[in-house]
Amino acid sequence: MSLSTLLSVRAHERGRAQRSALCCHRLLRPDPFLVCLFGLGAEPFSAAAIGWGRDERRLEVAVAGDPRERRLLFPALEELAEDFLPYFEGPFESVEEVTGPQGGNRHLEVNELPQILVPNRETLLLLGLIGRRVRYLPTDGPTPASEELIRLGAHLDFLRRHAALPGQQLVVIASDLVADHWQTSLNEWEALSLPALDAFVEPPAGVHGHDASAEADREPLGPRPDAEQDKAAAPLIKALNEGRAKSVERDVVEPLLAPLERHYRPKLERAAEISWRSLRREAGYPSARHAARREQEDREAYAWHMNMVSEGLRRRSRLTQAQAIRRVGDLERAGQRVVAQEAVDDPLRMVEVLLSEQAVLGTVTSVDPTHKVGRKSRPLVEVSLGRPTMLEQGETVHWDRLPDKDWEVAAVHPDAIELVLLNPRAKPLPEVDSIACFTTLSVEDEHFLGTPSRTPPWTHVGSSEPEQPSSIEEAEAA
Amino acid sequence: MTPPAQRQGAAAPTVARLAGFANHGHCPTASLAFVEGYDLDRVLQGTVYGDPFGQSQFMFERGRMFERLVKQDAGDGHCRYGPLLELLRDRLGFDTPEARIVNLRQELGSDMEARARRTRLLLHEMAEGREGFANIIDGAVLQATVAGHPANYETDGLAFRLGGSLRVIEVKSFAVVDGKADPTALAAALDQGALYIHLVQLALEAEGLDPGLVSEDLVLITPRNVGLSPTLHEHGVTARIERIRRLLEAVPNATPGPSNGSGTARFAAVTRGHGRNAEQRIDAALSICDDIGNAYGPACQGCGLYRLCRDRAFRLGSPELAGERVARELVGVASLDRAAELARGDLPTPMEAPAAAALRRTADLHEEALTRGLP
Amino acid sequence: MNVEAIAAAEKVAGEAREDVRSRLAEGGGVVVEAIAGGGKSTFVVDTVDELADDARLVVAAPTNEQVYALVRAIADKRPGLPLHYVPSKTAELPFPVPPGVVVCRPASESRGYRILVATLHKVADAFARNDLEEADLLLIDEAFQANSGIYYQVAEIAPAHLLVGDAGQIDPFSTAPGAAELRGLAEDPIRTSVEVLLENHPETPRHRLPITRRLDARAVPPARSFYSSDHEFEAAVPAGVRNLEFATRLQHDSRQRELDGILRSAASSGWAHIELPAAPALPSDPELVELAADLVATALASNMHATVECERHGRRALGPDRIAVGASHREQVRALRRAMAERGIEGVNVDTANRLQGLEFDLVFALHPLAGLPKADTFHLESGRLCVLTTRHRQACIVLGRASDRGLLDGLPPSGEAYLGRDDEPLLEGWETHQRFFEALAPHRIQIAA
Repeated sequence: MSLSTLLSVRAHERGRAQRSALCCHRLLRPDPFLVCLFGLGAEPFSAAAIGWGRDERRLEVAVAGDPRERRLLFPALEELAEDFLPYFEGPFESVEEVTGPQGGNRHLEVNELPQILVPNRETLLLLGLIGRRVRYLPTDGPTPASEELIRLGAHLDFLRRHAALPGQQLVVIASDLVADHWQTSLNEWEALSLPALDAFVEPPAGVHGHDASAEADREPLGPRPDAEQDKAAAPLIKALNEGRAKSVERDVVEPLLAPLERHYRPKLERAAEISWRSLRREAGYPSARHAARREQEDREAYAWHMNMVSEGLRRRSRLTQAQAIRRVGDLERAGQRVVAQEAVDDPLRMVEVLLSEQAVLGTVTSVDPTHKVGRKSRPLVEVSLGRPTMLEQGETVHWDRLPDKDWEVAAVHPDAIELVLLNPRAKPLPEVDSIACFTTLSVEDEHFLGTPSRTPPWTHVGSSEPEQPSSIEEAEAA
Repeated sequence: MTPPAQRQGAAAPTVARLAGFANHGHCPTASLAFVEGYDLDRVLQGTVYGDPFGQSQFMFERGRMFERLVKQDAGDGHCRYGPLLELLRDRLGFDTPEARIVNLRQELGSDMEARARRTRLLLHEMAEGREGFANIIDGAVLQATVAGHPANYETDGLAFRLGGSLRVIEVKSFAVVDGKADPTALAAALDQGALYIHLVQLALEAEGLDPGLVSEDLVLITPRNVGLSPTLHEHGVTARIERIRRLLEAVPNATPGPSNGSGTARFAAVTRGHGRNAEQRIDAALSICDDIGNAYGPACQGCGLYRLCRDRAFRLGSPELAGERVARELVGVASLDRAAELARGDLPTPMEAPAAAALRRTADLHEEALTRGLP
Repeated sequence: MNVEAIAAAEKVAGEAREDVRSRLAEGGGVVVEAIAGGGKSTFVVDTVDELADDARLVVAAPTNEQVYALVRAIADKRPGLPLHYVPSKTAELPFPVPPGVVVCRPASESRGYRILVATLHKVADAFARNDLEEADLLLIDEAFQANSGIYYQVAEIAPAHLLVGDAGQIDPFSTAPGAAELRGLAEDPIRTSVEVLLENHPETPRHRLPITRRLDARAVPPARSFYSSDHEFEAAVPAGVRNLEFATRLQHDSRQRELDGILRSAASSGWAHIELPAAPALPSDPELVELAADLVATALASNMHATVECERHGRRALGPDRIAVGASHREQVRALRRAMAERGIEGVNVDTANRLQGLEFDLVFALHPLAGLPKADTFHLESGRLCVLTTRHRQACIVLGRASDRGLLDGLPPSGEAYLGRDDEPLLEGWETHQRFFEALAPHRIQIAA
């Protein structure tokens, strides 16, 4: 059994989503940069309309007109870039080069971080594809792309990749944020929908969450329109194309955009409104301890990326084998660590860990701070569990209050356990009669292999190394 | 392509409907609709459970544009096939300077029977390597009998002879970016290609030719990256062909018992017409579910009855409503409502006992966590 | 003994070693594939034995348990042969250090080694820190479980490689769902080491050992389900050589009589497929867990006088350390261990298929991966998992499931996802493997009441 199943049962019974966390496990900034999109059909690299802003009362909107025409799409993206670039790049102005502890690695550090808010994963994916499209555009030749457009592309592509790291906080995906903190009786697929989740969390009075979410989910939130939404857009696009008669001049096109803006603005405003509401709701909960600590990796990743962009370096569009090894390692470690961090930060999260018997919970029956093993000081506690445990003698566990210290299981009794502290100077110790929780999950990084050599070994040569970064516009340009 | 104005109740088992059946074949209600020839995507149109039907016209346009580009269609159906031949030459070593291409769409238009006959003939010539055989057939039509309905399948891909084998080509407009395609879209394309390969195998067999002549590696042509410049991938689909074979075998057996003896199609009462109002149609659909059962689950996404069945699951409190994991963990418990009672400590029946014990333990830990509060 | 099969296997092994010798001079790789219990360790140990005097060797495997077994096997074969064992941080040989074996902690103490044994991870780590000297030959055991990423990081330690493994076991996987973004791409580090080597160096000689030494002739037919039909193999040991015996005893309790019967039946035919009544069940199906624990308890009951006898050992008592219980999920393992503890059973190996890879027992109880499932999915259909669970035994394997399990495969497999660059279809192929396996078990099927 998992806690989520129990909470699903209760969500169904009570008609409202049930809280699956006591705190908020993401560090939320008061004024992140929201971006939402609407695409056209399944066009994979463009947006028909873009909404953005840092203020929930005001949404900037740019419509492309006909997004399949790049000379119409790019100006809309440039409008976004005008606000996005100063916000996203601002924190890098305070960058410093820092030397790690014990003369370790020199790396770049920033004081502040940007935070991007999007309604759902699909939006992030489409932003990433748009970024992938424009970041490698040529800046010379017959159709040079603007510097701003290329930087926007580089940032969007970076954010899409970075957002895959469990626990990162540069990007907040509103639907994930809600689904990570609430349990509904929606199935796995339905729970990807932000309007459905939001309606289940706060259904109208007297309406069951199930019905509220079904109603809210009727109209897509973007970026993928349904057939009806596109059916309404089609004559507008047709009229625009007739009106501009192949012209892509701003003064010709701009006056013709109003009907499309009227079509898309309410849709984008709805996406923005639900995203902001979701963010504010979670921000009302206390922030988890480790959320702030996790910022360090975001800082490093951000500074590294900004440094590359500012030096005009192009990133490959595919990873080298060495980068791919590192990437998978990063994803695995981040995933394990964030589970451990959330569990020690939040007793509700710990329930799943207790159920999978990777933790024990009980009353401290005795504490001996002067206990010794051989000649070493090894403070000892005994915890009464009231049930047998699967932990074994010799296993290393961590107290949820002081999770970076190590305890060792010294003895296992039928319904109790004895633990010794391996870091004898760690303070405080659990108190007698208090409830204490110990887990085998570790918030520390597991020992990991260093960066693999850039030159592939003989066994790995021959398989096609990724292509050099290149424009993916070639067909259109031709 | 489905002929226009398909009469409800006789919808031909198109590729799309076969794929739908493959995804929902475990559901007796969906199977019945398939066998009776009703299109589930349309059957509830006009009721609260009817979803906007069909795909965005922009998606459709993109597909058509790409196919025209690959075949170098001047816009009048007359194709010169330049980009296609170039890909086949560069990637598969297909180096026939004077390739003979037969365009059945151009030649015979929408006369599917004639196209099917001509396809069989051309396959013969190809297979036997007769003088001047066609290298490429555009718009080949393959026939099969599915669920008792004779059906024509029009390959938007083409068959050609290369290195001693017949190859089936699928043209799809989803983009391959940095070597990757959307896994679901790709799977659907492969399934479609596998169906065509299987139909060619059957056609060859029916003509007394060796079905082994068809390669089980599908040739997939898609746009590369952002533009529409075509790229080619080969993909082995042997396991998918086996799945298609099972699918075609399973279809006639899908006829569920109770309804069919009467001779009238039960889904007739669900469709529009004869003064039926939306409520009556919904009731008719629900009573089919009640009588022969359905199999509500996450795979139902995309079925035309999805919203109806989902609401039905909600009214019944079915654990399946909340997803596979919940259903698996509540085995033995009839409903979510009953699970809630058990979590509160209601006495379980022997069948409920294992799940009930787990529910209570979880409820205890939940309670304990709330009491402990944040550190 | 099946003399022909043994001779054929020795011939292949000899040819493979010839290839290795020529690679020692020129560099390059050699792949040796074996089926479950296919004499892989024998081959590895013989190869080490043969090359020990002529070349500097690094012998590596993915897990600590596999490395312990290698240390023990090499030390047994050539007692006193200098062997440097570099343990992982928390690893400890579970047996007294054999003579000749030097435990190197830290890794830099291995300087001057002739034969070095360590996990792949340890080799990669120590080599990157310049704590390991280069070798002439890198020998990887269980190479089908070593992923391309770790292989990348150890490969430069030697110019010649020998990759030995069993393609039927569980494919490498990542614990990170996000790793799927690389699936199908050449740079995906989760492919097997063998795949990468063969793709980049198609000229690499590939040998297949046509034998299984662990499985006897009775065990082979179902095991064929897991291997491509062009990997031909025979059992080294014909039926009738090995013997698992439960002394007759009077039993009044009907349930106990049934359990006794199951064990006897499995003992005589090498297999039993026990089916509880059809029903969907919780993942840790309490009835199935109870049944497994009762069967283990019965097998170990003092009045059953269970004995084993084989070509290597004369008759001896069946001990708990020669019994394993395998499952697919950790949740099931916890429930099984709890049930064993309640019965006072100690020393039986209860673990997931993942952790039983490469190990060998006399008697194995396998919870069928599909047992009690409402529907078959990719994870539970993975043929490697079923293969590991049902090919660990020398005497008998008892597969435990429900009568509804076979029906899960009656319908149509879902289409699943697809990736460019990957023609394999784990779900569809697993579906067929499971069907073949169920068919092969038909003669051994016993349906019982809960």
